[in-house]
Amino acid sequence: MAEYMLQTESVIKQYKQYDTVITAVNRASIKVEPGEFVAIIGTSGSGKSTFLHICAGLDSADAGRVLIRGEDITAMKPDELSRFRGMNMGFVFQRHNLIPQFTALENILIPTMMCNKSEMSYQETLRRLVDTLQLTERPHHLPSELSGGQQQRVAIARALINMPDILFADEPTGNLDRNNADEVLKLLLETKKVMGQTLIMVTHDLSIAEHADRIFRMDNGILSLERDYQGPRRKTNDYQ
Amino acid sequence: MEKVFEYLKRSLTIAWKSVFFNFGQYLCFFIAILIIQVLYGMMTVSADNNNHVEYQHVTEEFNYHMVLKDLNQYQALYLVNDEGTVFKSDVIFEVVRHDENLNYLTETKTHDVYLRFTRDLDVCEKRFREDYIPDLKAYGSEGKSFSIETTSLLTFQDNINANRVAFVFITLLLLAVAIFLLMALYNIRINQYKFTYGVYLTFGADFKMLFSTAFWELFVISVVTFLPAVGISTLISFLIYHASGYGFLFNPLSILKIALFGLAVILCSVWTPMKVMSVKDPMSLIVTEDNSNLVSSPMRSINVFGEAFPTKYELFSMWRFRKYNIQLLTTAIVFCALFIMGLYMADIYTTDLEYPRPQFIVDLSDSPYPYDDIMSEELYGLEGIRAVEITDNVTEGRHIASHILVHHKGVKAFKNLVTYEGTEFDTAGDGYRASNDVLYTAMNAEQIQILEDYDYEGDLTSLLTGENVVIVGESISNVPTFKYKVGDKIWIGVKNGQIRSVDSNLTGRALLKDQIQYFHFDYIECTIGAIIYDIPSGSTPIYMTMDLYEEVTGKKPSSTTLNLYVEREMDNDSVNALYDEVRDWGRQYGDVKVSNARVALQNEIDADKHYTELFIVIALLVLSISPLVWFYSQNLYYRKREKEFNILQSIGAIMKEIRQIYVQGGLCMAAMSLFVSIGLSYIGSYILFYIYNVVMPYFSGENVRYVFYMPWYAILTSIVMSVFCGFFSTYLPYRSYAKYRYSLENGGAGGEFGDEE
Repeated sequence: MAEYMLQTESVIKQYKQYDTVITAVNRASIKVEPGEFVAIIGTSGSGKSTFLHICAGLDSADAGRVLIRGEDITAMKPDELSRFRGMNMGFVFQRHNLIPQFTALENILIPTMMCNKSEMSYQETLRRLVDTLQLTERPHHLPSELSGGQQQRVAIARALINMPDILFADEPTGNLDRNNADEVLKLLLETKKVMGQTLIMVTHDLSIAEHADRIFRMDNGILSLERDYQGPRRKTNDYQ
Repeated sequence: MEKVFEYLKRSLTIAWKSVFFNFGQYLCFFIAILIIQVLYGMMTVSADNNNHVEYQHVTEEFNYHMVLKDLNQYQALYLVNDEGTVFKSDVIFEVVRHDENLNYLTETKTHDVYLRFTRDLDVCEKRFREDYIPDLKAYGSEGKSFSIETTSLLTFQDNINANRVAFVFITLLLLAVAIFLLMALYNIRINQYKFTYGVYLTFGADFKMLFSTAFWELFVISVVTFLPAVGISTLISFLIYHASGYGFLFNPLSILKIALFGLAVILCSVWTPMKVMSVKDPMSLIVTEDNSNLVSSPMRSINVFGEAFPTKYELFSMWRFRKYNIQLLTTAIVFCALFIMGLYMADIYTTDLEYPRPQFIVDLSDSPYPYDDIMSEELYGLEGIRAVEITDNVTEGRHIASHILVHHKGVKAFKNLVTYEGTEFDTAGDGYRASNDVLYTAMNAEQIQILEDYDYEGDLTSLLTGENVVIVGESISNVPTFKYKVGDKIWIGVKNGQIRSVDSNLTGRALLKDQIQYFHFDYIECTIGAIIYDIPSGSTPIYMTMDLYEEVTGKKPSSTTLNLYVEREMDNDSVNALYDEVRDWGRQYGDVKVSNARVALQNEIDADKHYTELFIVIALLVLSISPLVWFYSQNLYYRKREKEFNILQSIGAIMKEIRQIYVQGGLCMAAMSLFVSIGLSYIGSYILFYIYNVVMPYFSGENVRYVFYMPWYAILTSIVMSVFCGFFSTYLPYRSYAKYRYSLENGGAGGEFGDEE
């Protein structure tokens, strides 16, 4: 059996609001191959972000399994999961979620500190990320001194500094204007080309989702395949 | 090893930078850790000084370990000449004093020999008792006995060991309080920084990482505060103990103890919060950046008691943030309650010091003369004798299978009683309660005077004038149990036969139930002539005439053992002089043995240990923690809420309205803190009262009756402090916010407000 980068099996997530039970994710299953770019689209409140958080181990599922490279992260203990996440996964949030009292560079380096990486081990990656993401100008500025697009670039660099195998992006362009959104997408695809990681992106923007190998739709917690670009693009990683 | 040094260097460098670049954020931890270190420093330095003071007192008072009294000439010579020792190398004691006393009645001489052991005290005492005492007994005159008294010099090491146990106990108690404080502060901090921790966890932080970061930060703080804390605690202790005139002792080991204590507190304080944090889902932390973790569901909040939306914005906010408010109120005010408990302890200690205990015990059993009015007159004639108590005529009800019956209306607490279900006493359909926790005591006119020291209702002398009149206490085990009125009846059950014996393994209420069921009783109806309210009670005392005592217990009253109480203000030297006078008095009546309970000495030692002052200083230090919690927590809380106020201003709120929000919040907190501080102080004081009055006598066997009261001066201080902090911890953030808005509206940058911290 081929080892998938991400595999979920009947993931269920429910919330209880007073007397009503809301099923945010309803038996969602997906298999993603290494290096693949998968987009999940859906309306607001459809459960796509919740599903992404569960896939990344940032939220817990009520039922079902999530496997990253064959390892069941739903069975991991909190510390084990944290360390696994730090070493193997990256995450880009819609609201950037940069720590406001840290500079851009410090924010980028948070994952290296959390995983006790030596300075030597990430210098080359940092240089490449700073170059690729055009962050050379304001590395010592606080997030409040950066534009929305710059903040998101810092967030992408932070997600990639540990060179994860899989990158989760939760509406990374949702807070940006068209130009900045296009630029961030371009950068994401460029870094994916350079670093070769798997990319799972949640978006409600179809024009962005069009760049993915496969598009899934989340509707009232139910995940279904919307489109599958079998063929040369997937094989050649030609996303342009 | 190199790796360890590298790790330490890296951790300390990061922690140092983190703490000092964000000094404002950590200021509260600097103060808290300083207070903790000072508290423990005072405890450990005072413990060393207490031992020092005790040793000084004991060595001043005694230069001997044991005294043998009322020896005959042969016995005295046996010791003086050390006839029990064969080889010089075997000598275990030296005689430091030898007194001859003339017994005026028999005109014989008795001897007191004071011994000082020359080697290991335990071994010497054991050998002396095993080898010398039998010989001394063999040299004894027929019908004459001698007495052996050991001194505090002999038992000093045992006392020190007991002090050490007490010190360990107090250390653990202080450790718990210190951990509670630091953990509370750390929880406040991480509650406000959950977003940051959520991001850390997202990118790989685990418990070890979070814990070590937090630990090293607090470690750096504790290193900075360490020397000042040692200095302050030593200075305070010096000021307290210097007054004793016994010098001041500083043990360098204290420094190590304070350091270790601080380390233990830090370790425990950050372990739990970080463990809890590390097991949370990162997303649940990231979404709490707006304090929503402290907010109860809006749907429920809006419907406060059926109202659609409270007209007062801040009242609504108080309700929305009720979890936070309750946490803050209880955490901050617990330290006020601890302050009051500290003062209450100081008061209990003073009560204990002043508690009347017999100074001398007189044994007349070998004298041909019983205690009579002439003896009484002579004893009271000695300057310093305050009271003479006959202790022979006291019998526990349960020891003679006797009990009392009380009408249920005369009962306040049922805990120590059983419902009377026997058939011999005509209950006439009313409920009666029985208790065998009673202490029958025979009294005469002289003894009744001793009861005048207590708080009583009724006529004490009615016991002598009326028929079957008794004086009763209202409590069992210091717990008020009865609500008698003067003139009420009680019935004393006197066993006169049995259907069958009861199980000898039974105790307490089960035994009494069986006794009522299987024994026959005559019930003597007695009238309550007076009720004593503050007398210490294991069993409830019932005072009666000699005749009634004999009828109830079947024992003939005697007067052979006396407790002598001395005037409270007498110092130890005067007591020692009086002791010689009492012994001299006893020699008029033959072999009267008088022992000195050394109460005055113990009181002097205890007074010089300055526990009262220590408790007060500790209480004040604990009180100072309360504002720390208030201002730290409220400052962070309102900083978070500044975004909310900015939004309100952007949609039209004017500064006056924003001020109203703050002021209303402050007034609400002040009002709530008023009630919470009274409530918690009452509960805390009552718990202490219960422990000292009921629990400790159960283990120690000594009954001291402490009066429960609310120390109003302390409660007032605590209330003023809480109300002040409740209001100003809200008002000061407003001043800061107003300044920021002013700066913003007058062209300034407006500072960092409104940003994430």
